[in-house]
Amino acid sequence: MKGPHWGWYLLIGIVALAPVGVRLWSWPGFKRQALDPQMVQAGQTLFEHKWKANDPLAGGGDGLGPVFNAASCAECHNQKGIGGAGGLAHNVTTYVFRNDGVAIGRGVPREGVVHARAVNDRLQEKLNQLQPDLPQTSQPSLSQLVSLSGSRRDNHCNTIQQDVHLSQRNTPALWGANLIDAIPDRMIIANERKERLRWGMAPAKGEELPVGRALRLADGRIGHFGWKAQSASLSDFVQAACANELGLGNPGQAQPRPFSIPSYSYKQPSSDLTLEQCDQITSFVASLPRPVERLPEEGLMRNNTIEGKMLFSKIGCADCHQPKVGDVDGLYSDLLLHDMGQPLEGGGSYNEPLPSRPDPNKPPSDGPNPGEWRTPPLWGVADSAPYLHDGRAPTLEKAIEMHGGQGTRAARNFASLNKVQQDQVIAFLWTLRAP
Amino acid sequence: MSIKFICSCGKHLRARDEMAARRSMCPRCGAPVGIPSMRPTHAGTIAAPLTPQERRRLNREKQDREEPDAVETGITSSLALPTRSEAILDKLPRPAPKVRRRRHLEQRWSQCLTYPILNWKVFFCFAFVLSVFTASLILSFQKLPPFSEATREDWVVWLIAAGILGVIATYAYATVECALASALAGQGPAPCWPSLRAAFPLKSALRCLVCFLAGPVLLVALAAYYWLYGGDLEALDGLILTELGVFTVAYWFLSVVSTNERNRLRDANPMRVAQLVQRLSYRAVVPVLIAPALVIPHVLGGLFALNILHQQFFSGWLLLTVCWWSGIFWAAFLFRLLGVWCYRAPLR
Repeated sequence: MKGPHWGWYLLIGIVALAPVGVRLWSWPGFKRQALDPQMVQAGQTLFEHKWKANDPLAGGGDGLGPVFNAASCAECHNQKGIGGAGGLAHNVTTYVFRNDGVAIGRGVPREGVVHARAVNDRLQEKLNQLQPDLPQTSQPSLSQLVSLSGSRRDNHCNTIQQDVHLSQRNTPALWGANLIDAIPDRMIIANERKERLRWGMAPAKGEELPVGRALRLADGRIGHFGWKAQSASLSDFVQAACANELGLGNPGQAQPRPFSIPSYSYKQPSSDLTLEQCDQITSFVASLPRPVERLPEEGLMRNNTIEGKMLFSKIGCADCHQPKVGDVDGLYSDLLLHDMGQPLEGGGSYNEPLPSRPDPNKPPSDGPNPGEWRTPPLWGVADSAPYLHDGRAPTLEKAIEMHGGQGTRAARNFASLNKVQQDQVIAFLWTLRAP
Repeated sequence: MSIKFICSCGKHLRARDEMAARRSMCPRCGAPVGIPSMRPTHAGTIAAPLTPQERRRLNREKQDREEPDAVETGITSSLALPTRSEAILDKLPRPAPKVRRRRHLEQRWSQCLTYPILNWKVFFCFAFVLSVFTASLILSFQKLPPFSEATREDWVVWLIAAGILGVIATYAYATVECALASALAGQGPAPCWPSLRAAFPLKSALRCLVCFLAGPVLLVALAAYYWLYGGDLEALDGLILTELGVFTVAYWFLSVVSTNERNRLRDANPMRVAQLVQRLSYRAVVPVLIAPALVIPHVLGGLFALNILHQQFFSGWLLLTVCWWSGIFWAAFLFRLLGVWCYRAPLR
């Protein structure tokens, strides 16, 4: 029998593969933001500027506050240079009410930040304003949170069963933020799918297997930044930080109202920062160099470090702290949310408080659970102590030991290593330095 | 006793014993045929196999020949006067002997469902065992240490279990391919149990693998890459993945049929597959559209079952069993249907 003309094969091949080819070609790639030196310079000025109330740089707004945690970005981000991490003294305290009814009854948003300072005493936020039996303080220390009634000894916040749940956030380092911002959403989703395939299609919300999930925000974008991956881009992250930490309202996020005075209203609702100023700060943060991996030159230390890097993958740390995501090498994070277990729970939103749910019986949204945290990048980890979301771990060994939930497997494997091997893993982590 | 033999056109014929070693004409193709004798006279000639009734009759005749004493002495129970109960039993109507109904090759597409229905027990056994092994392997794989530092014992047990799963899957596939092979030979549907000889399922597995590697492997790799790195899929992405799935399943089905027709692996090439489509004409819509429409939901259902397995073991395992059973059932039906059509539209 005579077969069909070869042209038919070609036509069928084109019909089959053309849509695929066109779609592959349209996929967003790794796009690093081009930086304007003048924008970077202006952004550095704003980053280091010490803001005050009615600041002239604030345009038509009220300047710093009314409630804030620091007077400048550099006040917190200063470890090993401008843009680094921060210590326990600058931890941000967050709160979340267990149900909407209690929050509404007290006239406060359901979740938000307990600001450490205010422009005047009348506006000062205190814990006892959220719940009467809490201490009359604005900036509790970690040890204070432990001593609160109902707290667990192994958890540095009171239990979620209380009406209000308190937690803290440690200041993260901003090194290499431009590279993280350039990672397309599909690469983070690819990490999610690879982990599910690796563990036999296990669901991401379990506590036994290291299967993470990408946080899909309300607008469909994937979270890249923040302890809970709550910000999709560096620009969003900067705008949220300016509003929540400095009380500088901007087009991206309004400054928070002090919950000490629920009826507080702004004199002028306009922003403190313009979009251009936000872009300038974003440009400066994007210009910060990426952390480096400093291997010893030669000798026993170098061999130990190399061996430690191999052990890092062997014991399962690299299941979540993946060395490479897309084109970014040396990141040591999959940028996914992982459930780290009940001892490491921490609720509360750093971003603009979510509107109260009209129906408390409605199923919860796809937002992060209290025990879920974005895998923090380990690049620069040697210069960003203390560790974990609230800085409760003073050393790297302690941080590994405290891994729970999906991190239990790797923590257990680390504990089963002998002392020499453990030291080798730590030696490798100590090569991940700030720039 | 009749002599059974097969014409070169594939038609099954039967002749009386008196016609042994004589010539006749095939009622289908009209070609002259030589009726063989029961005992082969030349090397290479074989007689058709005996039916079960013929085998039992032979055994009774053999038994009668081996008991001459009973006949010669004449003092046997058969010569004794019948007892009262035997006399009564003799007067009762005897039940008609069971005659196994011989099914002919299907005429309509709906009759092709007979084959998988007749073999549902076999398919269920396979589905049950496959789901048990699949679930066990998936759940136990998570507990295995990394390969680089695992002990030999950790992996040997798992690999043996994986090997057993592969063997069972091979037998299951061979049973399904029986539907196709028997249809291509013009045989009617009948209960089928795979031969325990290793050559038969191994050959089927090899054919399946070659047909997959002959083209569908590229489409599967492309679809996997697309799903992995495509981000959150939109409607267009779903259409593209469906298109790749349709091409994969359709080509694989057609290439399996093509290689079975002449029993040649090289018939898995695109030209032969295109010729097959041309022969089937409008019926080609079955492997091109209906087969993927059945296969893809089963694959997705299986992945969903694996997802549930981690949370609710029994529900996940049950769904997995249903997916396996349904998948084998419909695969047998589709192969049977294509085999019947190809038999009716022979190669020229």
